[in-house]
Amino acid sequence: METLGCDVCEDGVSLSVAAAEPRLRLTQEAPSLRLAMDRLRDQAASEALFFAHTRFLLIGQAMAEADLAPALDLMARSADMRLRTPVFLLLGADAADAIEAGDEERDVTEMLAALQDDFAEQGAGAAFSCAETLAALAERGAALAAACRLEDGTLRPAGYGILKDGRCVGQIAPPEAQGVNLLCGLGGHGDVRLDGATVTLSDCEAEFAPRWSGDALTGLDITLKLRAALTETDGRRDKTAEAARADLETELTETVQGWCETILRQSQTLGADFLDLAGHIRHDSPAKWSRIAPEWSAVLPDLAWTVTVEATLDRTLDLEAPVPLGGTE
Amino acid sequence: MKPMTEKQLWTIGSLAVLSPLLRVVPETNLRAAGNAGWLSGLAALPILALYALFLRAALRRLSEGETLEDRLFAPLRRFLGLWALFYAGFGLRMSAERFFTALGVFTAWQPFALILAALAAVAAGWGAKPLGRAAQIFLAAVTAALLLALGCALPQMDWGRLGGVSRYDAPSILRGALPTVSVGMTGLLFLALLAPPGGGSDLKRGGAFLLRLTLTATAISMAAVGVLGAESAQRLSHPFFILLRNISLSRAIERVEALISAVWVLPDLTLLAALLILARRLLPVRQKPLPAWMLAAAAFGLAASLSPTAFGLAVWSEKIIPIAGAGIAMMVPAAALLKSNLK
Repeated sequence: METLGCDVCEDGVSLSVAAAEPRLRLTQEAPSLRLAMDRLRDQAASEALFFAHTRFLLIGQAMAEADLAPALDLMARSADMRLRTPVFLLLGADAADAIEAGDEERDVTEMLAALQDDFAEQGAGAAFSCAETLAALAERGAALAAACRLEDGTLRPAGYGILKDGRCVGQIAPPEAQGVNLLCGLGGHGDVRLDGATVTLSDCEAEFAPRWSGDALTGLDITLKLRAALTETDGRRDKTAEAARADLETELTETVQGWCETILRQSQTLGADFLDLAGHIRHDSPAKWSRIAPEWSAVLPDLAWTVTVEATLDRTLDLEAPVPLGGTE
Repeated sequence: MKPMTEKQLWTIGSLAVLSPLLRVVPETNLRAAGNAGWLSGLAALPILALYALFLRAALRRLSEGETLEDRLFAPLRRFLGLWALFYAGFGLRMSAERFFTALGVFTAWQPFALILAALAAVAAGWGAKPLGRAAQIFLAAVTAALLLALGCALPQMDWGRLGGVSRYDAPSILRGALPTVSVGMTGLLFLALLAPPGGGSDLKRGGAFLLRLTLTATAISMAAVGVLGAESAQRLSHPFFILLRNISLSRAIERVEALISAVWVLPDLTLLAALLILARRLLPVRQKPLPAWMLAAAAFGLAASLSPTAFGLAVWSEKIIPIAGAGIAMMVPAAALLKSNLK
């Protein structure tokens, strides 16, 4: 089996599995995932089902909103499973629908693998493993999980699902999801569409500086230092001219700042520290952190913060100025 | 038969001590100190060094051709023999428990333990020197398996979890070091008892033994914190063996945890055989050592008499054995020094 899909149903849970060679699609309802696995093995009596090489765990929206614990527990407890398996949330559908999607050429496993690569390169999300998800939930009660949607039989990126206390309580949709990657220092920063131009983010450095008054945390100053390259213009104006470049930098700054503010507000509203702000504060001031750690969940919703973005457009990638398509006359 | 060399003695120690070490690390140190618990292995080093010097002081007071056991009062010798036998039984049971949990096999532990006990009896029957030679090969295999597991954990590490340690973590880091200290003290004591006359007090080899022990504890704890985080790692029965499931070399070599778990039986076998050799020496009947198979059978019986559930065994592993081990390890050199002074 290459992909496991988990859903909830009337009987308890529904487990769907997909394998490419030989092509196999099976779904089984049962009171627990383990029982579903056993029943699937009975279903496929002619050929023993082998779960040891499972590559992806896909969770349907209903199960994500109800409780992720059974799926993550199975991954941790079962000797067949590996905790480095990436977890994806399927928004707006059951995992079983995605398991059935695709064709001979491109099945659900191929689509999830492509999504994982896209996330890594384009910064529209990041696929966290079961180990990372379990660790984040155990440490701070909140985590992010890569989200996707099923559209026209294809899985498309849908940013992140926000997990709190073991269930999905919100979503960070693209393009704000790119802000998560910038704040969390995740690989792949992606492209940003601005007025009349597209820039590709090449580097981002995030700094978290807590403000203290004695032992009391009074705020958190976040600074993002971005470097970007101009990768496309609409050709109407020379975006590489100094004034135009400054405008683009300002626009990029405002765009990214807007994303980050939205994400931070969402974290506070939900009381979910999915950005691991606690970890940054602990790293900066371990001694002071040890005193406020027990009250962190009460501190987070009212934490004052500032986000400063410093964007620099430092490359044009070969084409210095737009080619004059109307001629130079 | 020639006595074993100093190198073989410390090789037996370096290998055998891995068996109890993985029983307590990383769960107990991470439970005590959270993510900062990865430093507990290093914190154990100075404490163990002090104990090693204390034990060495007792060994250096021995006369020419005398061993540590010769210097002990007869009742203490017998008590140590019984302790070695009990430790063998406990190790046998825990080894089986760990092996089956790591592989997710729900079968009776007795056949595995019976085979392991039989192999240990054969090894103990051959004596310490052949065991030392075998340990040199076993240690290379186990070190390779350990490095492979830790190397494959590197790309999955969240290095940030290892930071943010303050001086306020020091008490919990030290508390987390105690199980490793107990394992090291017990290991040093058994090695001192196993040593031939004049052996067991080599500072260089002893230092290397302690460094290897504490660095192994540190590296395993770092991997567990980096990959799983302290909060989830401490809830898993054998986090190190769960990390083994993640081993992948370019997707060409995967799911080799069964193989590596099997390699980890080698330290169990070495520990068991060494303890049976000790028990033979310390529990003679009419001045003659008991047959190794008889002691192996007794160890198996003791293993069977322990708690039938993994939950009950955890209490033994995390509370009773570490406290008893450290207490006995302190008592023996103290008693030897006392007898030296009485002389």
